[in-house]
Amino acid sequence: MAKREQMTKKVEVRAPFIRPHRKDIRIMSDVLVAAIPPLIWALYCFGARAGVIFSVSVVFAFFSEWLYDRFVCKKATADISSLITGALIGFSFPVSVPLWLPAFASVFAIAVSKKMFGGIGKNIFNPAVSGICVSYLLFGKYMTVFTKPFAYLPAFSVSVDKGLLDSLRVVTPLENLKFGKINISAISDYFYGITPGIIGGVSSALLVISFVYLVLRRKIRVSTTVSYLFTILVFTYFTAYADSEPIDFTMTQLFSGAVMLTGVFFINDYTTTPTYMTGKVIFGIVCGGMTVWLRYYGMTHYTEFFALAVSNMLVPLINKYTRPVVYGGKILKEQKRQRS
Amino acid sequence: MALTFGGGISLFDYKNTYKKPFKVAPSDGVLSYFAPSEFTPCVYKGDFVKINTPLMKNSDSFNVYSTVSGRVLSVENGCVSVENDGLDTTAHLFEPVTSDANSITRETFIEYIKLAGIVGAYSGTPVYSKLEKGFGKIKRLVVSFVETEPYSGHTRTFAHCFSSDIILGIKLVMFMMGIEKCVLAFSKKNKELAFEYENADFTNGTVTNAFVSDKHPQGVGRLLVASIYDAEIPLTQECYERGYLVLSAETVYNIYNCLKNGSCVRYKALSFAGDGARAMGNVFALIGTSFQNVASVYGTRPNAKLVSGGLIGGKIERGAFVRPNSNMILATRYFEKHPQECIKCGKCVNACPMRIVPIELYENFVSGEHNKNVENGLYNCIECGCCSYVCPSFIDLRGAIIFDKNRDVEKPDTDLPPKQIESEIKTNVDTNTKLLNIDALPNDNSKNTSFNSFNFEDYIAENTDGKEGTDDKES
Repeated sequence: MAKREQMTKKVEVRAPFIRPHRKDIRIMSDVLVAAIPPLIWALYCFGARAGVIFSVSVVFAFFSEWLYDRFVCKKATADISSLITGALIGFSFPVSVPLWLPAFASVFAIAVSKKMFGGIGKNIFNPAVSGICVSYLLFGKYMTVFTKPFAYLPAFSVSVDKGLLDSLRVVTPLENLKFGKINISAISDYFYGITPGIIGGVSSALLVISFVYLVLRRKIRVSTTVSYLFTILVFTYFTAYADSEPIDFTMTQLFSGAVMLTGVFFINDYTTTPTYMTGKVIFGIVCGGMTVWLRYYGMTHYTEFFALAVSNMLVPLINKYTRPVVYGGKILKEQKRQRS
Repeated sequence: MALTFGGGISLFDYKNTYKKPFKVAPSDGVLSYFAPSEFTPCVYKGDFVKINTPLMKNSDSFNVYSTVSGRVLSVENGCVSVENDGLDTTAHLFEPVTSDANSITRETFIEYIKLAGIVGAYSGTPVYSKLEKGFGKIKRLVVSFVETEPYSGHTRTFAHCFSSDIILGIKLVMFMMGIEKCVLAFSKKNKELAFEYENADFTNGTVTNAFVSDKHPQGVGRLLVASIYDAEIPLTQECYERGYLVLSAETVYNIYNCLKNGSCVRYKALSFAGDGARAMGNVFALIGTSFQNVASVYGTRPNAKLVSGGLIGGKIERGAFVRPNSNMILATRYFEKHPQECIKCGKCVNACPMRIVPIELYENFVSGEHNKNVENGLYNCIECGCCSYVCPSFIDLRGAIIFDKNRDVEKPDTDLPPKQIESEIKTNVDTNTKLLNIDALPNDNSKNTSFNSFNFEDYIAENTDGKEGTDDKES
């Protein structure tokens, strides 16, 4: 560490001589702004309890980072990336979940998945994804209880009464798909968000607005999202097994679960996705293919997150083989070939 | 769609000094001349030098000339300081070419360019070596009117003021080097500048205009060729080896003007700008003028720091004096940057025109793995500064790469004049009158009156209609 500081101090050439007007905080705050439309829909669709779950995960994420910095790293860092992690974790739970579960997921995501790997920029797994995956593995039975929309649950009770939950519980479109059943007339509802599901992922229409905002603000590139969604579209279209038109099957796959939430927010995380453009496209294809595969042969819900966690492990490999050739490198190689 | 290359950064909304008038910077006080380490001084401390007196030379007998007359104050390796006596006594360099261009051969043409000490206005490399090594190979001449640094506007203003001379220079180079095709590269926003060159009478070849993008660093010769001809030239090769001779408009003008006057390059066109400048504008400064003198033309705000080079590609070089390849003096005010941890956004990779991975080079530099960096293309960096500009965490990627490149070579990175000169200036303040006593100096009467009274402002006023210069029109 001391050597690192020495080396960075040696560098004295300070160009660009421009007052800093772009900060990493700006990128993060833009992501938070993009999270507002799904949040508003969640409050409208699932009531105040959605807001409480969201707040709990954000607050716990922020304070676990602050405490870790204070007592383990013993230095203050100033960034708001933990707020994004908290917000995304809050988005990924159904509204019926007990309030201690998002808190646990946030603390795990920040303390274990991010900080123990060395902090921002050094983590292998997306912190939010790892928090959700671990929560699902440990407390899966709480996370697969989906209630119907516009049935408001008590906002501040830590865990919802089991009788109430049983009365409000409905079957999700993904569970129907397992048995080859498709409700064709409800596909537009899936798109607009009148469907049971996780808090932030139900309204695909509003997530598209968030995506357009992030692209216009030049915070993310279109490539990963498009390759991810396109892969799912193509795979499901040609392997549709339900007794209806393949396009209805594909649309149900795309607009249910957390596909759009993953495609807009999770898959565009800087740290845990490949650095180079070709790699980003390959990453989208791998992640999309894995999602469909898991949906067909594996679990029903939360497949996107597990697919993303597996794809994260492949990032160093993808980076290695998609490295750009240095300017003029191809010509030099050709010349060498001709000589030999 | 404009011709362009991969990578680079698009900049909007920067004011520039295009079409602002040129002012001539005062040249009193000490002037310092810098050269790379392979140059050895050929004057001694206390010598009296005139305009066109060689101060330093390399093994190929390429000289760095004095642009003023006066006494040599200090001689160091790679740096000679001269105190201006204000008399502009001129020495004879070579016979000015006043007759027809057919009267000189190609060898003498290149010899004259070498004698005049002309270097590229941006690259700083000697022009004669390009012409000498590239003869026979060069098929096309690319004249660059592109400048992409924010605030910069002097090249286009120069091209606007001296269009007739630049056209004659292009004709001269094309005729002497036997080039039949020439491309004038303009920025896509500067179509009005291109109109001035459209009606020129190029009898000895075809000349076309190319409109390239405004991206930084479009002005680099290699990328200009890549944009116009879609030809990727690796860093191990030079452009002339592949048949492209890239010269900036100012270099072409210098070639023409030096042959016409029989003297070295004295003046350099500069932009003076920045948030520490009271006004922005263009300056003609004698090569070797201190930055303070240049800054005094337009004035600086308090706490302003003068930096050579632009906003993005600026460099803190040894010695704050105008060099033959200084293109901008930036008055910037100090501010602190707080580098943060890399968030692996990959913006530096996308911005790099040379397709290297700056953050990887930085990480390897920090951990001290120089050899790994060389494998990953460390020496392919053209130091354009795009990576540092786009970095959201303010990591000084460019500084680290430059430091790692120059690790084996000892190059002090200070913007102060060498210590010896500083002390000399201090000690000479009291004995100033003695030093300027001309009677004690060796007498010299070989004044070139035409050059002595040469004033660029008058020159611009006189020559805007373009009647000057008949020496290179071939029959």
